[in-house]
Amino acid sequence: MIQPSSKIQNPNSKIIWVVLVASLSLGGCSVEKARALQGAAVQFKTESLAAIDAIDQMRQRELEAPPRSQADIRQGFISRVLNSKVDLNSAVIDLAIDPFQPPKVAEWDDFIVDLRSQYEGFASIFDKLNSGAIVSQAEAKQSAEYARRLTVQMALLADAINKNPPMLGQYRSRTIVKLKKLRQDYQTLLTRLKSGSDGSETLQQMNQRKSDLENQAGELMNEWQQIKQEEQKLLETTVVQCTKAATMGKELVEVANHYNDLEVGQLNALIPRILTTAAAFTGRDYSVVKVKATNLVSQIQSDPFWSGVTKTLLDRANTAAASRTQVQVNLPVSLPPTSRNR
Amino acid sequence: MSDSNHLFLQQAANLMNDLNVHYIEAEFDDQVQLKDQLDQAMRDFSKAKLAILKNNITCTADDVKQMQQLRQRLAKAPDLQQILATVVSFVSFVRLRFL
Repeated sequence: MIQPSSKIQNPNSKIIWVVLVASLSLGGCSVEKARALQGAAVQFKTESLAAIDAIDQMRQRELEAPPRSQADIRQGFISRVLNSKVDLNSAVIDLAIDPFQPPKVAEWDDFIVDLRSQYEGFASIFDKLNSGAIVSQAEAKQSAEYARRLTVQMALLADAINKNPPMLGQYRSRTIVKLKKLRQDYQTLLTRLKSGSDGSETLQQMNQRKSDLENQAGELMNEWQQIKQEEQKLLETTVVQCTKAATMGKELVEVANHYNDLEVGQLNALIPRILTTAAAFTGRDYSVVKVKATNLVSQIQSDPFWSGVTKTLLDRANTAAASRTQVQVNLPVSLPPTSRNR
Repeated sequence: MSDSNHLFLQQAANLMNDLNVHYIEAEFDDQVQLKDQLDQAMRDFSKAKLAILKNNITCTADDVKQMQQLRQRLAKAPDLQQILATVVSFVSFVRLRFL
């Protein structure tokens, strides 16, 4: 079997993609080969979309607040508004209803839109082929470029997210506040217990409350552990999906790079291998995925076939970093007015 | 990716947690005062994280130290004005240094 070695450089790999797409759109003897590769390309399309969705989900969950029941929202609003002394206006009323609404972050929105547009650019050619339309050379080249860029971006993101795991900030803060309050109540109760009953509560009642508070602390420990588990799940889901898409994209593009050298039988043997590799990423053994994500980045940075795209993406980033102010920042202490109480 | 990037994000995330705790514990009228700055801090923290994930940023040991100092300052803040001042410093630092 011919192994698709990425070390053998094709002078213009985009041309191969054009040949592949042309085979599909025009038919002929090579259509069987092209169809074999199309199956893997469609799977790459699916995995890329799932990876983008996972990244989008991760960034939203990092900022969101824990859900509250309608009864809590209503009671909270009543308490805030009726005890407040600030001037009432629309913004204050909205805040009283939901003081924990996270802000919108336009840069993240733009980033997700950019990833989705690359995906759509890559995917559109297959939609066009399936509808029987003729695909131009320019469109095929563009599709190949999208596939390469998506692959590199997914590989870099998988590694970066693995090194900087998501944190459910508002969930953590909420549990910390509950624990602080509980600890304060517990220590106040202990002081009262030491000094004996003051008449408002019997010793038996105080001991019962002490036991209740201890149980609540145990429940909060479970709550904290659940948050940590949720964070780990979010991390693993995102990294596994990005690594899966990147691995599949890398193998797919490398096979496409050898398209002319491969017989139908060889392609039919290689394509299931690509699909099997991708299917093996279940996230059951995350330590293996972590290693795979790191190795992928090393490979795309050192392999001349991939390093061009990788360098372009990283150079763009480095240029942005270099243009940033590197001087020591003096921290201001003056306060700007807020929009809610002007 | 440098260790400083990871350490910086960790310190910044902890600072955001501390800030959220202050916000949740505050009276509603104080939350009204804090909300705009808290939102700005969350937004800039999220943008800084995106820049790090995109390999756009290389943090230094000084950046990590600045975050630690800001966190200490927040922990010692005796009143709302000092909390607000620390948030403003955090936002200014992240913006000037990273965004």
